Amino acid sequence: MDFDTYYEASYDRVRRAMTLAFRDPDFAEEITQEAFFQTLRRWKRVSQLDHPEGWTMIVALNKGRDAHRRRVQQSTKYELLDRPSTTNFEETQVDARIMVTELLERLGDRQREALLLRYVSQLTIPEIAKLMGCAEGTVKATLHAAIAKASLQVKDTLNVTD
Amino acid sequence: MSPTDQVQELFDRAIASVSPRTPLASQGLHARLHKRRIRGRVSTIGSCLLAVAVSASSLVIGLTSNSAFAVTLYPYSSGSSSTTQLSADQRVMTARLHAIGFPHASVAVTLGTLVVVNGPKGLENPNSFLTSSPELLVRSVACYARSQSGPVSLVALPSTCSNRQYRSPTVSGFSTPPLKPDPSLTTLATTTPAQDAKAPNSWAILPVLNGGTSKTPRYLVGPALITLSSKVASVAITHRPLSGGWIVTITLNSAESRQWDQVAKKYFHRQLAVDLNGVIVEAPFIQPANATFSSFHGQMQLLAVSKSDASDLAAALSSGPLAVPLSVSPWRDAEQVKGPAGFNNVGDEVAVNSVACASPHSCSAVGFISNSRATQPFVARERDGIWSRATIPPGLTIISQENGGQLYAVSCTAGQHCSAIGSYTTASQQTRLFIVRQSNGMWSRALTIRGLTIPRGYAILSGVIACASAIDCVASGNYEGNVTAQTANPPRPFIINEVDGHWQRAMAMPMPTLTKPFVNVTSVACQSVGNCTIGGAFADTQAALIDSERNGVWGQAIPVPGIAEFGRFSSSVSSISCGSENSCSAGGTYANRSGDRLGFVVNEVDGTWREMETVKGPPDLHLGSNSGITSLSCRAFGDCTALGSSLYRGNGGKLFVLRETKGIWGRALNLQGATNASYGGFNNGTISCGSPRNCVVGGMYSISEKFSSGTAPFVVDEIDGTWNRAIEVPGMAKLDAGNYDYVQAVSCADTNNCALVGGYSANEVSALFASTRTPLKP
Repeated sequence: MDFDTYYEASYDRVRRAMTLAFRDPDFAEEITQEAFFQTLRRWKRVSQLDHPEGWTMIVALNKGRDAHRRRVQQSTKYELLDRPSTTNFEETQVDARIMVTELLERLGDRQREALLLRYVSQLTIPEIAKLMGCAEGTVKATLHAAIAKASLQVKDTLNVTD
Repeated sequence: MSPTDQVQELFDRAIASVSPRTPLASQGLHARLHKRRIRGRVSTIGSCLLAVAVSASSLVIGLTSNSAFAVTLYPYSSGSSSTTQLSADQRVMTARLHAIGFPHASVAVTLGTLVVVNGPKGLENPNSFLTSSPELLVRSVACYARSQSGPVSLVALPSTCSNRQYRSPTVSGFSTPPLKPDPSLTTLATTTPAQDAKAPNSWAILPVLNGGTSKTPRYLVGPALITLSSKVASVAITHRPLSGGWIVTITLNSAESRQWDQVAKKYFHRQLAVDLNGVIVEAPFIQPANATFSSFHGQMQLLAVSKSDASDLAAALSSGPLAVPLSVSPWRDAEQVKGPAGFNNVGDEVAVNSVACASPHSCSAVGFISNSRATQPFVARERDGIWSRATIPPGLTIISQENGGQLYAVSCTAGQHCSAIGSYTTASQQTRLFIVRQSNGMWSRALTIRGLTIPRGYAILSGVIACASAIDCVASGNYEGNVTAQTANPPRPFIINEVDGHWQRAMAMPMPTLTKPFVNVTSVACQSVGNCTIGGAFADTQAALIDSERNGVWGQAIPVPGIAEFGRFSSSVSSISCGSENSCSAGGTYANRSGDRLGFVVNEVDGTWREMETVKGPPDLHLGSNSGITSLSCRAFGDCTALGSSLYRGNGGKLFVLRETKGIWGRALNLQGATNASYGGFNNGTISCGSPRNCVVGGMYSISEKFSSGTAPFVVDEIDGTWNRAIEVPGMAKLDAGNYDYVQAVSCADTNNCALVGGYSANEVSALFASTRTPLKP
């Protein structure tokens, strides 16, 4: 597969996932662009992977997380000049998107990574383990903990009962 | 429906709900990659093209402008340099400038530096040959290599090719056989100029000027056979476009001429490489058309890709070496501060939060470092310009996978005493504050602060500390619930006093009646023991706040005088500093009734905070749109310098400084970037003053219009009241730094001694760097 075909097929999915993870659509677009640029730089190697999209997704998450943490660390300075666009949540209908966004914010980096690879990129447990560089058992435990945290929200949102 | 299916359905709905956008064409990414490769090549080879462009523009400017162009050059040595050395450099530099066609340039020794007036702008280039003593290393060529690709191999460089067919050939006659790259060298890293200079007698893989051929851009070369000094008999320059630039023909002195002949004779019909600053500038086969060797009579030819590079090199070679190397920056090359054992791997993250210098050559930095298992606070220490490996403070057995612990701020007093505030999360997810103290280089065990119960699920959002003496400090900050969510619980402030070396129980900030106890704390400063001030903002009214301690007793928090008029809009104190007893100043930002954000400063005189005043400056700073004070530093009574930023219609961000003299604040002055060190605008900065009129600003700037394209760290010095241009922190290229690099904090112990710390990423590994400033002579 050449890079352009891959880009066309995966770009929107990664961008949407980043929008969920970081709320700000412009910021999501920027880090997605950056992640695909990094993918292009290493395309010879990344294209050999079973799931290049998983690799790009992790790079995008890392880029977003780093930039976000720097914003928090330097919050005073950013607050002055670079305040990210906010959404008025009081006026927004509570829906699946908000639930997922809040869920992702409550999770640790590894849990968030695992959830997005599993439920957005549709990777299997062994594939996620390979990309995250850990044992399959660790992925299962990470996903289990994340789903447990999410379960109450999920039930409320989907109106399901046990 | 199983929980897995439920989550899948939730994600499907969420992904579908994100509005679609047409992706940008992938050609944009290809173009960016292409540009990056070109830029990388230019910078590796020696910044020649830039020098040409800058040099050409300097001629135009020189003709049309009456204002003198000045560049300050700093001696670059581990110890202090003598006046004799600087005078020798003054003579050499004058000769070099005259040789390259700047007869009216003047060079003066000022404050232990060389100030060049009306010289070429290319002098500002950190890689200019004019400020170095170039040496030519003649090496043998063993075999050829492609550009580095794939994971970098850590094995030692070989001294032979993996197969005879890749060996550099022996050539007899006019035709040169095709050069075959040795595939076993592809994963090996290119030897950096620093490694090359440090170990000239080792094997090296060096890039060829102009990229060589596409298949053989690098050569494996042997140890230096001879080193030719930078004083040659004569130099001539000829333009050879077909060779890719300018040929510099040098005639060596007699002793070196004999050496050159001896080596060339030994390698008759074989290939030698001439290595200049880690780049192969010529790789000739020795007289392939001759049947027997004949003397070169001291002649040697080198290639330079631009005329200015060629003439600079010629001037440097013919005028002799400098007594002490010169640098356009007083800052030493940035060096990596290594993380604790077990960290600094791919995927790990490290961030430095604060640095403070107790005395010259003694600074401390704090922050956090995390890997997939844990997040840990760290402390790192500089002693005589060398940063030790970052370590986890004693007494902390950390911690949980997610929140872990970190150190937020450090404060030092004279005599090598520092204290730092941090937090950690217990196994039961309880957040606790702790203090660590350093005395004479030894960090004490972490001390957990009592008296503050932070509810489960809450986290520390900020921590600040200031010490009035080695045993009297104040720490403050705030904690809040669900930090990352928009619906966060309001922030609650805390204050902790240290009295005579004993940390007291944490207390809440005294608040006026009917005011909700919600406060964001941003800074603290002390003017004397028991007299400190905290700055921040009331979280409910969003009014900038100050809270003062008098003789050990904290008063009620008050809005910054004059800010109430704007109380409905958001305002905040971002920085406080005290220059002496009874004299502090604060700066921050507020929004006027039109919603524009403006910077303000406010002074405390004799224990009373006066009315705030709005920062004023030249129209091109557009201070009335979106600006603010981000950092402030005071060094004497009524003498402070404030740093601010301004954003205007996507101008990428400008930085400005304004100075208070005898209690009166002046107008803002725009800080300028040297060459391209502000290309996409400055993103932020922080300031520290070693003495009045001698300050340092560090921060980061965007390397293109978009923040996502990356940032680079900058530093800018004020020397005796004059602000230099901002430059990229020296040495970042040697660190192989990546896309998001920044200076986080700066600190000056006195006029001459400062340190900066920041973060960078290299090969997907997040790392810390630090640099210290070469002392200037008074």
